[in-house]
Amino acid sequence: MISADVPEITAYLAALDTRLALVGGRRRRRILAEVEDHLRQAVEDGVTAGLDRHTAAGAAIDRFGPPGAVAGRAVGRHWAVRAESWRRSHPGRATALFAGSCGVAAALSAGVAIGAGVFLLLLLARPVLDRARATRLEAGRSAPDRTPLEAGVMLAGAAAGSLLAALVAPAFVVATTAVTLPGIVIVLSGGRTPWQAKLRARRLQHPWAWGATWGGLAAATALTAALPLGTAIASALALTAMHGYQTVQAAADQVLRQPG
Amino acid sequence: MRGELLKGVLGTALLQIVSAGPMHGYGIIRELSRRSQGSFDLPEGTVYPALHRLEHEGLLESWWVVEAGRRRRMYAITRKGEAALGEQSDSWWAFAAAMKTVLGTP
Repeated sequence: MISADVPEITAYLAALDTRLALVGGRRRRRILAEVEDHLRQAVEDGVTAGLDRHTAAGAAIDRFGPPGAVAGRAVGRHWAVRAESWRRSHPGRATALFAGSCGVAAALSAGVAIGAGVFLLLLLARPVLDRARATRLEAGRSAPDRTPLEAGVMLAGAAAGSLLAALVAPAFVVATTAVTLPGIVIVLSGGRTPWQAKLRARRLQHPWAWGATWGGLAAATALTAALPLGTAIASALALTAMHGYQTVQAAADQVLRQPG
Repeated sequence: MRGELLKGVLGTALLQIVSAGPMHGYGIIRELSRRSQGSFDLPEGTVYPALHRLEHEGLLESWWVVEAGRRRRMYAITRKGEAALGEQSDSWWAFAAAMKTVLGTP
């Protein structure tokens, strides 16, 4: 075999094989076999034309293109073909997967926001509750270590936190992968998939619908991202107000207790 | 020829070449280079993904053969490919005629 005789071809095929890691074995073997046949034939033609074997191999490889570029197109086609084939054969499932993934991601984000809000609330409320308890004790009134409400909130927060910790990580990975997979396919395919061509055509035909869709998605994304921050700010404001109210109340009690 | 322009017509050119009879990848690329008189200066390795795409779309079919102890992948046009070639050729000639009218004779 020429590839065994000519180190340039052997090295080229090895480099191409490495870069085709994402392609399944059967298809990778087909690509490599076709490339090897092509390069062997090109070297033979070069030798027939009067070149020495190594010069002919170098010229053949130059004409064929860098292994990264060749593999990039093959990988792009591979994933694009599979994704496009699946999308065409299961349009309902593809739509449901995309919509469901968006919904799951939004729900998870909202859950994280609620969990973060509860946690922040408990964290910031602790000093206020402790101070209130101390004030009650100083006044000679009963002050249990934990009120039923506080214990309930803490229990619910701990349960929600545990549930989220168990669910969020794997579900978030699955959801984000499903949502970003079409984008990955487009990037790997170099933007030459029939799917992207259709998207471009629709964008040109219906610019307003396209803009409204992306605007809605952007607004939903911004809202989802703002939820944790908004919850935290609201919690902080509420606790600050509580703290101020308790301070004023303590000062008023002190004034009222002073004799005459 | 500019890359983007070539990509738009590469499939049609490949179908036209293969329509003459079954050919292997190397032969198709050589014929493409010969007919275009070197104007299609794209890397040869990029032609194979185009062939695979045409095969996936059912416009080409392929199979392995052994020639002189070497395995080669042969490509042939399908009925669907012949129909597509006819449509694409008509579109191209109409487009070329319109561009010729727009640009005028050099």
